[in-house]
Amino acid sequence: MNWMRGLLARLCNLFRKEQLDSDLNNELDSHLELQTADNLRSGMTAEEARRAAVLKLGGLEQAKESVRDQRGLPPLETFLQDLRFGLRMLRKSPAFTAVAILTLALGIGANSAIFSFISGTLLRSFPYRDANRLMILWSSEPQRGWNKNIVSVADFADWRAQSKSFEDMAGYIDSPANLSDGHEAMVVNGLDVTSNFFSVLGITPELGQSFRAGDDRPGAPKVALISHTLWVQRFASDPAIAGKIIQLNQRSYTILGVMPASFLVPADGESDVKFWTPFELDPVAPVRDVHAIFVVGRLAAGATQRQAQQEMTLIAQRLQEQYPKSNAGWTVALETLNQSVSGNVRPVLLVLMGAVGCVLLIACVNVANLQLSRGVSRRREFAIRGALGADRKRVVRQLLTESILLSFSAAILGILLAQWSVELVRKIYLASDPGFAAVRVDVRVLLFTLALSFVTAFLFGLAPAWMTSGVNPQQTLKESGRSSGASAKTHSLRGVLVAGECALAVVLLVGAGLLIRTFDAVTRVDPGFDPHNVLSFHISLAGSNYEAPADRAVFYDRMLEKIKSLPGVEAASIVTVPPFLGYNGWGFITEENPAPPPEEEPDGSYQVIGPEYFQVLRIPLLQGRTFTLADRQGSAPVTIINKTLARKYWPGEDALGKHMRMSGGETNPPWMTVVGIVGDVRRLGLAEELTPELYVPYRQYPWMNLPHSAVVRTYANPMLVADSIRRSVSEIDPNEAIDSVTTMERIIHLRSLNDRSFNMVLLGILAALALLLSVVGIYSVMSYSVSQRTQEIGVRLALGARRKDVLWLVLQMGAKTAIVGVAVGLCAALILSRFMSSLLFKVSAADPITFASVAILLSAVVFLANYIPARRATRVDPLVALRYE
Amino acid sequence: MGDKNDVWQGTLALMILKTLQTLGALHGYGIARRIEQTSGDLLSVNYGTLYPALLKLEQEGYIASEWGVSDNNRKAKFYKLTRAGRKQLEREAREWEQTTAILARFLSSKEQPS
Repeated sequence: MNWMRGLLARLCNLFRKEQLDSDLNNELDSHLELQTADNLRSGMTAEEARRAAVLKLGGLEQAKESVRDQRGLPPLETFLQDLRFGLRMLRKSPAFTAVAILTLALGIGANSAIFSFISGTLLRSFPYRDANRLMILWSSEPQRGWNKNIVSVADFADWRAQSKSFEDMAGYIDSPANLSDGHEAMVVNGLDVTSNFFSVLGITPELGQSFRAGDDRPGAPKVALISHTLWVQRFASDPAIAGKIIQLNQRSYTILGVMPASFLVPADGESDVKFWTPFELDPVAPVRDVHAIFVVGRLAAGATQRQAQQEMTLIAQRLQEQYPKSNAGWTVALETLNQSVSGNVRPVLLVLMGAVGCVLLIACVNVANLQLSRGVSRRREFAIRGALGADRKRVVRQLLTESILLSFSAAILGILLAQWSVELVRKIYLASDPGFAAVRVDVRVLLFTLALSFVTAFLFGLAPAWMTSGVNPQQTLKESGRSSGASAKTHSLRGVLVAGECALAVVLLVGAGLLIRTFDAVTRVDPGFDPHNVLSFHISLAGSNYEAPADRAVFYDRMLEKIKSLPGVEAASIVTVPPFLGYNGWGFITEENPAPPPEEEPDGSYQVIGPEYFQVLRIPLLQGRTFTLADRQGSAPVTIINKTLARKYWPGEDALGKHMRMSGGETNPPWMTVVGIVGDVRRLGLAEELTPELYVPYRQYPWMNLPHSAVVRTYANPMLVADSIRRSVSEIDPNEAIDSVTTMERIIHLRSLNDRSFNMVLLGILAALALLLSVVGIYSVMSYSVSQRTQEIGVRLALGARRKDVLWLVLQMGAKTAIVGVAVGLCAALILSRFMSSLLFKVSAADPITFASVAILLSAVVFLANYIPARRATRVDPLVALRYE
Repeated sequence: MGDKNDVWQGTLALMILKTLQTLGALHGYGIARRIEQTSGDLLSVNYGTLYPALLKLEQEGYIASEWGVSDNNRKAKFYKLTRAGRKQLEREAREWEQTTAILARFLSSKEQPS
């Protein structure tokens, strides 16, 4: 305990140094006097007495020094002294300090923020037991490019029965439903699942029970699990929820329990699921030719993904032989959950992470450069300190203290910057993507960037100290009295750093430029229809009243009539799925080629529409006619096809009047006559290929798929009629509801532009940052070099050099470095940009326009960064310059 | 500087404590004189060793100090033993005696190595 007391006393003493000093002086004086008095008493003369006393007592100052060491805390005092000195040094060169701190802060802040977004939005983790042992199993038909297709119920049953490398497999499919409580209907997302779904995933309800085996057999009692959100919102967190009844699509389900809020759909990471109900799987006659469910499997203990893939491929081959009609060409593809969710974003992720790394590197190079330049100009200071007896450790400690000061201030600023920018971007994007709510500053990344910047500041802060400490101080002192600049070694090191910086900036700018050009190209794509003033909504008609197509058609008749009578509405139509929201492909045959082999069967997007569909979306009619109300049950079956389908299956012929027929197994659909040809619509997205598409009138059934959407053209803002439409539908049937009400413009934006613009903005910010940082870096190095050569320039001017020559001399010095940097950067960009080709659209990865403009931009900026200090150099008064140190 | 100094500092502290126990409150000069006299002038105590040792003891709470007036009417800082100091003295003296006794036994051993 006593040492603690001692430490405390020492700490306190730090703050009352002066009083203690005078106390000590008095005490030592009195000691001396007492000794002198004793000496006098022993018979010495006054002078002798004093002299003997002084001799006996030894060095006064040394004694004081050792008392002071004992009194305070020497290491702490040294540190405080270094700190004071460091602050003074930083204040003395405010430009250096500001640039270094800002550079580091931007590096730390921006990188942490951007990485936080990446990890928060693109890398979500699944809340399942051993989630890395879970696989998504896709049906795949590589020849037709269908690599990730959902699975037929019969295939699923066979896979599950035959595979040994999977512990178990479960199936699920989205099944949105009308949730009604007698007053108002609401459409909610739900999943139909096999009864083992939750045990395969390894999660249990937070309340109540999960499904039992057999719940998915036909005729089993109807049961459901509900989500945490639904439990809170609709059932007021009722703890006795189990056993209550919920109405889904006007059928009663008994609630078994509540699932935790952390649930994510395995294949896409979607979190908005409100209920789960068991499938009704018919074990006797499972369907094999309709792909209907997602399959997720848990690997058996000891099995690897590779083994599982091999086994599944064998099983698929057996099934191909066994059922050639439905399974020809079909195999199995495995993916981990993370691959499945991040599959599409992986290239983006790599590009962004690379960019983040580049910016951080540039920031570090900048600081390194600044520290080097400063270190060199402080060589003389170190030499003087050495000459005065400071040992190497002491000098290094001084430099470390300065680096700590620098990095610490930068770190604080950087953390604030990260916080602010995350808040800001989150606010901007939260409206369009609720996933952003979870984005927080990623602490791990923050720590990493902090550590990296500290290390950089240290290393390059120390470098000059080590470089000079080996040198004889006398030499340095003599030399630097009239130095003509830094040593060749540090000079070339700085040149390399500047060139590297340029190169990195070029790479980032090229990347950003390519994305900008892509975005521009995508926005220029003609979607094939006019999305302006068009409302789109979803209507499922899932209730038991609408199982017969005739009943649905009657409902549509009434609904369209009501909508068209609303003020502000120009036209309205039913459609299976509006463009950009889905494909809904279906196979067909033509009269000319009635029996193609299964894998060559033609197919196209199949849309059930109303007569005004082409008018609503303003899709041009190229030939023939559109549908009328007379195209109805009993009249001759008709279809309208798009230009792509006509060209593909009747090349060089007039498709009008030709006959085609949907392939539909037992249902035996009728031959249809092509009565019209319309313009192409981008069905899958702006940047996607044009696809064959055919339309049939909703009044002629049976259809191959159920129409479940509608589009409405209005004269003004389409969202204004949304409420009237909602009311109209509930007037026809209060148990039915519409949902996903939005505008076509918004759909296009969300589906085709949102991600691209997000990527573009992120990479753009990074590139801008890279440009800014490298300009600052180049500028500071150049102006430093010029200031080092002031004396030389003065001599030149005094000897009669023209200002133009001097300007050229200085410019040349910087230009060389820049040219090398830009050239290296362009080469690197050429190699690296290939990795982002999957993100590009109608722009080559070696797009000459992008490369040229980046090269010009960077050269111009570098020129400017060189020109300003160069011009300053020519303004030097030779007399001043000659005296300059 | 090194280990030797530490030993010296340790024993010096013990001497100071013992001096203060024997003579009561005393100023630095008095302590130095007493130690020199007791050692038969074999030891010489100067500022550089005495005052850091006094300061250390004070920081550890074994002695306390206050300004006063000496016998011959001079202002001086007087040190006196505290309660903790008394205990510390007992402990240190005991340890020191043990150590010297053991060493003495070693050094006086007449047995020949076998």
